[in-house]
Amino acid sequence: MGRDERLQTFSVRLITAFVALFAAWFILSEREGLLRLLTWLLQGFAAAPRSIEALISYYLSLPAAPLLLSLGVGGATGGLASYLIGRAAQRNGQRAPNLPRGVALGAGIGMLGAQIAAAATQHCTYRAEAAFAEVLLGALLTILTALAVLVPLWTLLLGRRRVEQAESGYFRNRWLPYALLAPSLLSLIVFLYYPSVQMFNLSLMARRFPIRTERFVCLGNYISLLNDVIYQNSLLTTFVITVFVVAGSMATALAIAVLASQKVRGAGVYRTLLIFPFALSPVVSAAVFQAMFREGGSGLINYLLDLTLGVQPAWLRDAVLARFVVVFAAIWNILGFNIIFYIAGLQNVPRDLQEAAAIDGANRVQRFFRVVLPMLAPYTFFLLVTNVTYAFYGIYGAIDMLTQGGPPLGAAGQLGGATNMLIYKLYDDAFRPGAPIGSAAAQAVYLFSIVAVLTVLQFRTLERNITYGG
Amino acid sequence: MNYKRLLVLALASLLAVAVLGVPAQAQDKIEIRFVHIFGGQQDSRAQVVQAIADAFMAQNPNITVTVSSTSTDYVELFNNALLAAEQGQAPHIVQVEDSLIQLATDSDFFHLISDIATPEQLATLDDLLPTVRAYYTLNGKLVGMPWNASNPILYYNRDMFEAAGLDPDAPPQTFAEVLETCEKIMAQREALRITACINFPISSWFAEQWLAMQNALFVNNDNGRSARATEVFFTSPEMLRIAQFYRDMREKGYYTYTGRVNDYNGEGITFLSKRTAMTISSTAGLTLFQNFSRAQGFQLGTAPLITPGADADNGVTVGGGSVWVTKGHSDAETKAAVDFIFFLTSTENDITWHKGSGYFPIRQSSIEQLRAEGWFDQNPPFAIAVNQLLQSRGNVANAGFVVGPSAEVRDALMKGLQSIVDGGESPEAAMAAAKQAADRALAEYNAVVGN
Repeated sequence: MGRDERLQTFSVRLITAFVALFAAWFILSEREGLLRLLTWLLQGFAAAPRSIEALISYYLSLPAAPLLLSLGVGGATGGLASYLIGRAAQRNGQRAPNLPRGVALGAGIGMLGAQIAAAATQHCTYRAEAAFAEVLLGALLTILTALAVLVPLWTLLLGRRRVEQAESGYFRNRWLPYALLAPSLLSLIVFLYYPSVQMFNLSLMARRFPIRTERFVCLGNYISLLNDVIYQNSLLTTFVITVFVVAGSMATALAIAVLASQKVRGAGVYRTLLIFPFALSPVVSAAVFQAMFREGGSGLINYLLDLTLGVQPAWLRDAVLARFVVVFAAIWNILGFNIIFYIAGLQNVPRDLQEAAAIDGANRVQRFFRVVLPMLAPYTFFLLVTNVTYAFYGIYGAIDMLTQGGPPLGAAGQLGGATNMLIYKLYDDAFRPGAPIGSAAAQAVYLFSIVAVLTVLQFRTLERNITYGG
Repeated sequence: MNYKRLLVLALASLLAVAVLGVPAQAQDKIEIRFVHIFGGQQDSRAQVVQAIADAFMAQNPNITVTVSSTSTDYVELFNNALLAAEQGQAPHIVQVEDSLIQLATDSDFFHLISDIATPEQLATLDDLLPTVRAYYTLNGKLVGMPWNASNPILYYNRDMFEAAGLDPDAPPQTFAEVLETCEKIMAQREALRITACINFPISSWFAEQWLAMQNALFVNNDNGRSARATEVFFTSPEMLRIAQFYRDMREKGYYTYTGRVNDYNGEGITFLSKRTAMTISSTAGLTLFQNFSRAQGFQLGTAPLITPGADADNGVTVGGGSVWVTKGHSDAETKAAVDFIFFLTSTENDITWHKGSGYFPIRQSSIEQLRAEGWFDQNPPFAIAVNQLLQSRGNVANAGFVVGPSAEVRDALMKGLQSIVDGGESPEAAMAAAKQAADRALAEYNAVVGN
């Protein structure tokens, strides 16, 4: 054994020992929780046969019409989509399987995939008593689940050939990778997948927390949200505030990052100070803003304005100003995050490119817009995605501290609230005594869908135009 | 490799020890948990509760009472406790806010006091103040044990009254008198450096008081007490009179608030930083108001809650909280929990609690004893709250309203008032829209719960 090899073995043992020690400590100190988790998982496994039995008896008692309809929609979706994809692949000269067989396979899998959504909603959207909007929404849901099941199939059939094993690293023991993945998978199942499924089931119920009785209402919660003028306005408000927050925070962050990247004395201190707002939790930063903008005379800003100019704007009680304050607070909170990334990005812009541009006679402004900005595109794209997500999900703390979704629009807020963003409305509806949690769950599903669609759109439209250097 | 196996073996045995070696709980020791909202950092009320719990444990050595506060917010505390209950981890005793009693009853997570107390304990209930008892009685049963009761009073700045040439010993008593007083105070606005004459939270609680004073109902079916309420009375002449008061004060610029509804802390700051001359707040904040006004160097005045008019003499309702025993515990634990809440609200501890917190006493015997001690003569502001409540005529109107979705109903009313103050809506339009929203919430709730 060489010296390096021995050192390697030693460090591996050291790390293993540390991991083992940590695991032992964790197991010992969290034994009660782990025990409950274990029982919960075992109960889940134990309940599996019963669930399958229930599913079988459900399908046996299901009338033919809804079943056939759902199979038809799923099959048609799968078949048609597989046909289109297959044709496109053939035209591109890709290795593609036999088209008719692929379509048949796609249709079959589409039928099965459609049953996921259909069984979860108890085929209610395919019954005669379903409302027209429910039927449409139900068909959309069926198509989406059918496609979701089909996507892995296409990837398998049409995707690139697998990378040769020898080229990439691989595990000698075939169970080791699974063992290493297990903690992540387990926490994903316990904290993400299982709650998501539960939430979807809840969104089909009329239920009031904490009353235990619930009533199945099919997609009723979704439909009444679509028809609710307060929800429509909330959606609009969300888009407006999101646009201002994202544009404002990214433009300001870029400007500050450019300034902070200049070679000046104490640049490190400036950068640290500029980044620190991000270290504050949204509620804390909102509390700071509340102390500044609070009305009634005890807010800092109005106190100063009254002293100097003799005016006291209704920051939180005027619909336009309240939106401005919320946008301002949201921008301030995310600014540090954006600045970090832009400073890092600016450091990665190659000097020689700028010098070359300078030699070609480009002035500072031209160099910034023609060289630096395009080189920052990957950062801008990443920040755009994270900032949109932040604007949709991250501002409810600020709204709760500052305006509680108000000021009300229309008499008694019958048109909603000026800062009642979707996430705040969801929070407000879900966490109050007697909360209509079925409707809140439906709102969560909508909100997730909107953000998912927006993210996909951004990747589809913008990422194509970005070069990641190299 | 041997050492790998050894490691696996060691971990496995550790897991086994962890799973099997959980020490067996001692059987004769009873442990109960009590959660309340007084968990703020400088909230001395938590110490008062702890002292009472210590006294209880000294009398019952086999019982351990763990007092804690999972939230300083009633709603959050309630949600936390019920979420824990769904996991089978409910605390034994939960403090529940006044407006949540219908929901707590409907939730079926709680024992009703009348169902689980011993006959001797039930006999002591006759000592409760009639208004307090009426508030927590549904279908003839005491559902939760009233504990921390309060109601709103008027706080005013005596120095400003003097500066405006008003008699600081004659604070306004009615809506009309508030408007008159404010006219004189606002004439001195520049000199007093105030933003408005009066501030108080936009809160449903005050409107409920003012309705009760006019002997008017908040919701139908006897305020939801003879059957489930199906309709709110937001467009009644009595409610419109209240809404008109907000409208008048807005038009004249006498009123201000922090921009957030129900912001009792923020409104307190506005008043205590001498930006207004009057405010309305709960008696529970009395000690805080007294301390801070001293620090701010002004003379604090206290007076009974203003009334809509001289004719509104029906009296106030009770606000505050009650304590409830959750289901799903062993008989011994449940009994210990019930014993503890009766200990907590015994005459002696009722007096300790009143003196330590500012909440008013809930037993007639406590008030008699406090009177005999001369406590109210030494502390006139406390007498205001108690007298205000004692003068209340016991009837359906000031028993308070009970509905399941009380949060939504109150929210609708607050948005209505807010749209009058900020949006310039007419009282009629705002209250009609608020009624529509509240009625919808009632219908949805009733459809889920059934009758």
